[in-house]
Amino acid sequence: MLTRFILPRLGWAVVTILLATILVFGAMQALPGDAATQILGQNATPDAVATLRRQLGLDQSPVERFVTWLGNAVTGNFGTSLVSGQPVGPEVGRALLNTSILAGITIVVGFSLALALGLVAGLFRDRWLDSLISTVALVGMSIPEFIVATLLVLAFSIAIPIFPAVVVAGENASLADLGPAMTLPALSLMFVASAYIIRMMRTSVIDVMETEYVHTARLKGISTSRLVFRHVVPSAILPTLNVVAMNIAWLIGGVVVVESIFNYPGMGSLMIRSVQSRDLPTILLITVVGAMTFVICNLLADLAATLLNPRLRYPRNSK
Amino acid sequence: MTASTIVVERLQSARGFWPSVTRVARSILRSKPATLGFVLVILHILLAVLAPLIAPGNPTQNNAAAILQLPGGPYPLGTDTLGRDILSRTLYGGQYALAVSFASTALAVLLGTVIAGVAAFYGGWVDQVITRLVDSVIAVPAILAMLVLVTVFGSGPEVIVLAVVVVYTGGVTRVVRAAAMDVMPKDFIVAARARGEGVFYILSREVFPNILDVVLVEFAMRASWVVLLVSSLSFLGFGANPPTPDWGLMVAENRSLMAVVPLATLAPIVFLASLIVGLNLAADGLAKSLGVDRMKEILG
Amino acid sequence: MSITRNDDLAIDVKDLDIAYMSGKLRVNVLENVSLQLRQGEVLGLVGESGSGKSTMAGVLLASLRTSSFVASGTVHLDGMDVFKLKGRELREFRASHVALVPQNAGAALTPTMRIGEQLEESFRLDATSSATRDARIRRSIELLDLVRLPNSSGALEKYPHQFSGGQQQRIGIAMALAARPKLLVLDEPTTGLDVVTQAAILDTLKRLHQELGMAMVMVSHDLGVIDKMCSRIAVFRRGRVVEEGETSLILREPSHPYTQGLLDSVPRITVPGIPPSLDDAAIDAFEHGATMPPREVSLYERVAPEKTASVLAIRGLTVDYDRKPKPGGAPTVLDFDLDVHAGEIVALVGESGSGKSTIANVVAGLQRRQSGELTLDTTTALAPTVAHRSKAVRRAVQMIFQNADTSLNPRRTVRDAITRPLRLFNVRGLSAEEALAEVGLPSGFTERLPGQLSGGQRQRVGIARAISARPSLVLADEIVSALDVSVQSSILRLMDRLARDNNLGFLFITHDLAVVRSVADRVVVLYLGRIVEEGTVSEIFGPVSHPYTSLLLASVIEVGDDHSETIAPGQDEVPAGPPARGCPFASRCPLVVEICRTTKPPVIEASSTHAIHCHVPVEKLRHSQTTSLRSATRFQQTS
Repeated sequence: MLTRFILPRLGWAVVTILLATILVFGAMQALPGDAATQILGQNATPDAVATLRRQLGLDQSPVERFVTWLGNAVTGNFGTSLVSGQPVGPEVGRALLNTSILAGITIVVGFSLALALGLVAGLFRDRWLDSLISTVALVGMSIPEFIVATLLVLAFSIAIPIFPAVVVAGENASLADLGPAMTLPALSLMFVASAYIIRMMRTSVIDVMETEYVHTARLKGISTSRLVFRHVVPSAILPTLNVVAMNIAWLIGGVVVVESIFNYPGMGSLMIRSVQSRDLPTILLITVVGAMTFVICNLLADLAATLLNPRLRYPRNSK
Repeated sequence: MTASTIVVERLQSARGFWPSVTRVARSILRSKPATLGFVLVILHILLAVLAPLIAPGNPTQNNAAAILQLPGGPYPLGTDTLGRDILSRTLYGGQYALAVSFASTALAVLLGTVIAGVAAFYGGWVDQVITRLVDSVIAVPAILAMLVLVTVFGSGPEVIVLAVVVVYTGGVTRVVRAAAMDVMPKDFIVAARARGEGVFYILSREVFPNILDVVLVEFAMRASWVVLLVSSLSFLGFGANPPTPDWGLMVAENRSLMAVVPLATLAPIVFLASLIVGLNLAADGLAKSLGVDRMKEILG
Repeated sequence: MSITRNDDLAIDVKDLDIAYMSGKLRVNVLENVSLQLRQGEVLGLVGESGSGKSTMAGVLLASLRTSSFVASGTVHLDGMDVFKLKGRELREFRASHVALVPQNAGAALTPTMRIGEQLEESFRLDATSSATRDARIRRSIELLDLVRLPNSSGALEKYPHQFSGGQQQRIGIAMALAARPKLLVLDEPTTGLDVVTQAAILDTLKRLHQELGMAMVMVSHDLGVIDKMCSRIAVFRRGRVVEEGETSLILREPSHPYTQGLLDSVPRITVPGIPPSLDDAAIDAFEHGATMPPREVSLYERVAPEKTASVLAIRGLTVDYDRKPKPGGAPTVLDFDLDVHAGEIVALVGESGSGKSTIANVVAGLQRRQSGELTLDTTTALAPTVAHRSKAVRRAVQMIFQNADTSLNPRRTVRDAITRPLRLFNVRGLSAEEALAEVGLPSGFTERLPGQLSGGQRQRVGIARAISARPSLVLADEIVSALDVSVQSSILRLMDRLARDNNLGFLFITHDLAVVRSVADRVVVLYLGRIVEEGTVSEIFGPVSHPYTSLLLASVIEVGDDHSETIAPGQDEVPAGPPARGCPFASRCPLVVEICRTTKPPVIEASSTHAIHCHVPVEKLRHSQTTSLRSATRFQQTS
């Protein structure tokens, strides 16, 4: 199991992360002006710039620099931020933790609700309940996060002021500070991320309901609850897992808009700041974390699919 | 009348290219949501094209004498902080969103389809390499890739188009490759291979007509995502440059004054949301009448 | 309202119309159907695809397709009006009275549930069997033993995909029997299984019926199967029952021309020659009052061509799917020799997994070979892949496929399909219309799309595409297997005519022995990628055969057999791959001796054209006299 399933995928995961990093590193090389001029400003003397370049290792070729970065990265040293001069590891770590809390709430509450709604919509296909759920999902798919967030702020911070519109605590906010402020961001994310899960679950429930084995099970005269939970759900949830995995990766890597609107100190806000200040070490670490999340989520989805799907768990010996 | 004669009649009505277009069109018109979707999209295209004719004012004209006006008089929807007419800006706003989104979606779908065809045809290591590259590109969070590209190359419309192509071609490739892989083992492809046909003939004449439906749905669906992404980018300040009239930008500019001039935020929101809802409904309708499973597409 | 009547009838269907709406039009799937069946009897529903027989099976479980409805009439089972049952009543009726054995148990078993749980579900209303965990396990094993599933106790913890097709079908039957139903409905229960597996499953079903005595309804397109299994028969055509009654009576003296036509169009393993095809138009006319021309069964007997030049010679072909040889494994195809001459139809026969399609793909250059020489038209060596073959070679070798649905591009017209090879290979003086005429299709078909053709017509277009390249060799892979029997014989006649007129060599790949008998000149029998026997068609179907060929022949079920032969337990268990040494058939052979397991069998030359690969002396390979006796009596019956 371990060697057959996990190892090759782990190998590919590493290659994927590496390629993603190279892509971002390569793109950043095309920037006009480098970090040294960026830090010292336009009016710095050429000497000062040259000195800083040497200190930062910018006088080496891009390939050399990437290899150096990679060598350090493997040992856990991702360099220092060009803006703050602090190691990027802890900084990104703090942001990741904050985003994970937000994502965690969204995943636990939002996704389980979405799976249930999708199941209900699929079972009551083309009836009013389905139409209602499907319409909500369609709206969720169609409205950008910034609109959802803006409207939520309009409703719950301005019209009925019960939640704060922004997180004022800033960078070093504690959990208690973040608590009430997290409600609106989490709601925005839930609404947007659940839409695809609802639709996928609905579609795959409908698919499974039409299979011959569900037809046969129905002809056996078993109860509806047994039919749904033993025959339909285990098969229907399999394709949905991939959409769930994609959404989790998206939550960790790209809640940029929501975080920026609510000034939430997570990965998204950090991403915008470091891109604006062209802080390559931070950007690279964010890329690594983002790609890693993507890869791990897909890996977990595959693993879960294998555990849930007996065809993969017990392959036939022949052929 | 028996079942078999019905089938024959239905088959006879399905002959040729244009009749199949009208058949798809008829099945779209039969569904109310799909019709609404197409109407919304066409309406938006018309509004964007006709904006210069119907807008009451100049969308980028500042007017210090008339800032933050409430609706009324020469400003049907009021003005923003710089005294620009909100209705004019909203009407013009579709130009940027539609042009950038359609151009980039078309490019991404075209490129993705070609790459997918090559991967499916050759299989083996060619397919492996393409799949791996596609996975790596998809693994970079879309918005990060866009931000990096925009920072490096500036935020002109051509850069946004390029950035969208970079971000979405991978997804298109994945979906279209899966569709092409379904067609490849069919006997008519085997027959063509056995005749010794080349890659171009097999892809363009045998494979492509059979995945055209998937490609079309992919286009409609991606278009809605791209509009969403591009407007988010503008909202964050990385997309359309001020004073370009753009919905995402307008929301960003006027959001803090929602209590004062709510329409300055709400008007672009309504326009943007209705366009994306329209695109989504159209994609749904197209998928249904072409018999493509739209949700399976999303996995790409 | 009384819901109960006629308790002694298991099935009582009165004037039943089942319909669906196509736009504003009502389309009848079943029309005016009346059927009765007494307790304990077996009814066969026979007909071609689209005849409504499967809809009828669904009706007996009170199950219709979502768009269909009962337009008029009633269905009583055990005196209960099944379409009046709602909700809980219906569920309990299904759980206790009637059960379905579906066509494809592989798709009908829930893939995410263990076999044990699925069985228990079916008898959970039975208080004694489902009282304790031990009782449930005991009952489940008892059921699996009843259907002769090997290693029944180990099966409960397994999932459906871990069983072979035949075993899945046995599990499906066990599941249906679990609730001790009064009526068992079987929808094409053995279609898609290999012939030996089919015979073994039917044996089991027959024994179960004798032991348990429930009423059974069996849907099948195969008259032989119906003859073996059913005491009564109803013949369906376009939603109507054209003839109904006692099986022996109806199959011996059919009164409706459709039944006669169906019977006459079935090829037999015991009778050489291609049967006539069914005349649908004449039957339609008959239904509208015209008189039918007198019944006349004229078998067309094909004559093998005189000694002609070789078009394909294969020597020592070995194909291995595994790149790295596994210990204990052996190549998929080993040491395969074959000759096809101009104008000759050579049949390559074997069960699924025997490697017959692999060989066709190697000849076509679509599958790489490990070793072996292929020679075309006595002089040209065939390169391993299409890419290395000249245009002339590619033109000379053409393929026809099993599934007419996928062999034509659904988006391109018939003209496109036919003219492409014409242009590619520079065939002059042949138009698409003429190519269609050669396969008996009207020229007006050129602008049609494949979706606008029937299965038989599509297959003809596929043939036209192949022969319009003017090949010398045609690879025909199961080209009649997906067709209704009435269409089958017309395609077989076409094949015969093309072989004669165009001097084409056919490599005809099939699993259907009756079809082989009717059209082939020579036969090669393949088992797990190894030749076990080859000879002329009369030699293969003659009294001396390889034990494997004998098993295949004994497994074929035809109308008029005495149906007394049974398949010994375990004979339908095909090993996953060939053994590394010895005879491939050793594990199933009734005549096996020690040497079979260690040494490659020698070739017995029973005649100059008849070779049997076997260790057993030729005298012992003569199979029982009954087969030949049977064939003599049957021949008189049909002609």
